[in-house]
Amino acid sequence: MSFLSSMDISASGLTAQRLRMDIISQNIANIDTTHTESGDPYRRQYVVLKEMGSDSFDSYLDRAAESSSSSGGVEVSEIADDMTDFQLVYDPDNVDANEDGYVEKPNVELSTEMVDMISAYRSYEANVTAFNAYKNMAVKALELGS
Amino acid sequence: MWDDLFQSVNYLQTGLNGTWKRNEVITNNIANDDTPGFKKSDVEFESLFAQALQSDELDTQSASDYSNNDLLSTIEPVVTKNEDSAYRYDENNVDIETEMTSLAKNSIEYYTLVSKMNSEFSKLSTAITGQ
Repeated sequence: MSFLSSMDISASGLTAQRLRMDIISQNIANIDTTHTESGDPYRRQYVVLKEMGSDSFDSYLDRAAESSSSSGGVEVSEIADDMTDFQLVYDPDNVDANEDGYVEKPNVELSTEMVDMISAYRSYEANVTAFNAYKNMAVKALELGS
Repeated sequence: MWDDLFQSVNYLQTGLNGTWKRNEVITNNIANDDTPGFKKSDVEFESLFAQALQSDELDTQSASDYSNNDLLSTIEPVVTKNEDSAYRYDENNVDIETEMTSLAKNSIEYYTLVSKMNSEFSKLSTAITGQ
């Protein structure tokens, strides 16, 4: 346990939630993108988080020894593609329409994205609060004996 | 004599160590609020401290020395993982309200211990300088 390790933990949380926000923004920005580089409509992406160091040698050793595991924060394990089907919308004038006049729209649901965004925003705030609590404690520790 | 002099400071130090560690663990729980499968951890040291203190008091009553003073100062906070429960479909069991409450509570505990320790030091200082 080092003196400022809690700050790194909060920082990892902030980074992870910010990346979630970035991906959500990208999903919302591309909600009508019917044509990407690959020729397909835009596919929704989402962030998969995992506990930092949960598959490291140290953590396996800790678990084997049943000692208190070292805490390390959170990290993004991958940015995954949402493989649900594209939505078909009748729009014969669109250049991407098939012979029946249907266009494949991205599998992005605006309401889902907005809910995820609030979740990420609140988690970000929670990390900021934890960071400030820690900072105030550290400042207080420096006042010891004064 | 010196052991006695710093006895309360040593007690308070155990508290400071414990609350410091608890803050770190709560921070980690909050950071992993959205991690699928993550299980929250808790810190326990108060009960261990109370146990040690009780045996210490018994010893004092039997007029023996403060033999458990060393025991008291070596109390380490124990981190336990709460593996049993799951609040959500993703098997995560971090309840953010509980964590934020614990965080606030823990900070106040820490501040209390710091101000108590400072007052111990100022008492010692008064006793030493006589003013």
